[in-house]
Amino acid sequence: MRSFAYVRPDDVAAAVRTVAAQPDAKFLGGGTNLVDLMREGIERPATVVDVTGLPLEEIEELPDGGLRIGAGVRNSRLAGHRLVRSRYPMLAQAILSGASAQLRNMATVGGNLLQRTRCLYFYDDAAACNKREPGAGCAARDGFHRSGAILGASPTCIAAHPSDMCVALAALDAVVEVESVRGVRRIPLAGFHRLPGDTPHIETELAADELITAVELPAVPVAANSRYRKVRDRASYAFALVSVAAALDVRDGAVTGARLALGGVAAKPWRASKAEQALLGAPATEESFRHAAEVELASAEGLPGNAFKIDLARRTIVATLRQVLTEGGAA
Amino acid sequence: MRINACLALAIQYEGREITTIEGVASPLQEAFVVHDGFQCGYCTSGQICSAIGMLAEHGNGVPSAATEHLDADAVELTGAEIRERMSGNLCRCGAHNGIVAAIQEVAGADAVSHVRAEAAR
Repeated sequence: MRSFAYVRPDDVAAAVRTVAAQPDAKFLGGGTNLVDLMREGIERPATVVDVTGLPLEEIEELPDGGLRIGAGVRNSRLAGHRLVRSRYPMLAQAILSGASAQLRNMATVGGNLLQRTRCLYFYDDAAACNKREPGAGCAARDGFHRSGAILGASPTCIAAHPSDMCVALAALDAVVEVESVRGVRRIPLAGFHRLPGDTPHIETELAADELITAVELPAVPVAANSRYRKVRDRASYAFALVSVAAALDVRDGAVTGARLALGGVAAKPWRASKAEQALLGAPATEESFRHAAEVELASAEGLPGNAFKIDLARRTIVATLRQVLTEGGAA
Repeated sequence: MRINACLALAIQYEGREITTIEGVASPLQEAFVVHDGFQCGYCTSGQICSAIGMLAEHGNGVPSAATEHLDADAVELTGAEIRERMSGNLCRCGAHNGIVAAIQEVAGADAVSHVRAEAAR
């Protein structure tokens, strides 16, 4: 057991000051990921700054019809919120399909954004992992990489981002508000997580001393007609092989609005902008859905253990759009 | 609220009231015996604590990934709903059919007593 210091500030200013002053400090939310990583010796913070005592637990409706969600809001509370269920059903479904109820009761919104990959070799400190130790190599490439990325991967890293919630947030144009001793700034969720490139150990745009304080959702009328579909190795309590968040607006047989994002396929929640472009104005048919999926997945690349996910993603995109079209959203 | 003790950093819960199986007296315990809801017993304390939390969540109108219409006010506690809501507790002996039956019986009894209480008003 490694010893570490624990502090529980009650205001944001004190929390960010503490972390700014100590390079080896980490913020702690619900603990469902960081506590596990500390136990495995993968994360070794000298100081843990518990942010669950901060006043970041509000869910407020914004004047434009959007929502402002405090970073400390627990996943289960957000999924159960009336306005999330009616206006953004893809988000409620995404959260409810992640982890287990016990974990969702603990996990915070901010922590969900910052959870680490579940790539087996990242968790195994006897294995080579460029994310854990830059330059060490990647054991996943020639190993077990069923969960690995098929979009945006690099020679150094094929780890996928494990979040379900973030997939819906990407489709909804969410904005992440962060604070540090230098002030407040806002980062669009679509640009919050990074692709691995040559620096897979740098996973987000967040500086080490910045704290996520809120996530804002704009009003997205098309999202009222949306769903989240998750394909995995067992029916519940498993990470996604492929997941799809889809919203669709159809008038006179043509697509007039579409939102699409993919999970389990990249180091970041993957907004399928090319597919959205292909869908807009197209007839709302199976053929258009298939074409849109193919456009998005044209650059997908698989390895022996995960190439099946390219076709799986194609079929899941089509199936999810078809379900939204024929059965409507999940609200 | 149910959480995983194995992932809880104890100091984060200072000042909070914590209930473990040792502090539980619930009709679920008898129902698990009647319905063969366990074999080796290793997971049973977690199953029962989790089921208590699950029934409270359901009573508060919380939806699950198995819920068809998220906007509905009440969700019927079907076998599929119970299985999804209890998926964080795995029984390696495979006693899940008995576990679901035990929970369903207790949830049904709750619903009946709730209706009786309403009718008596």
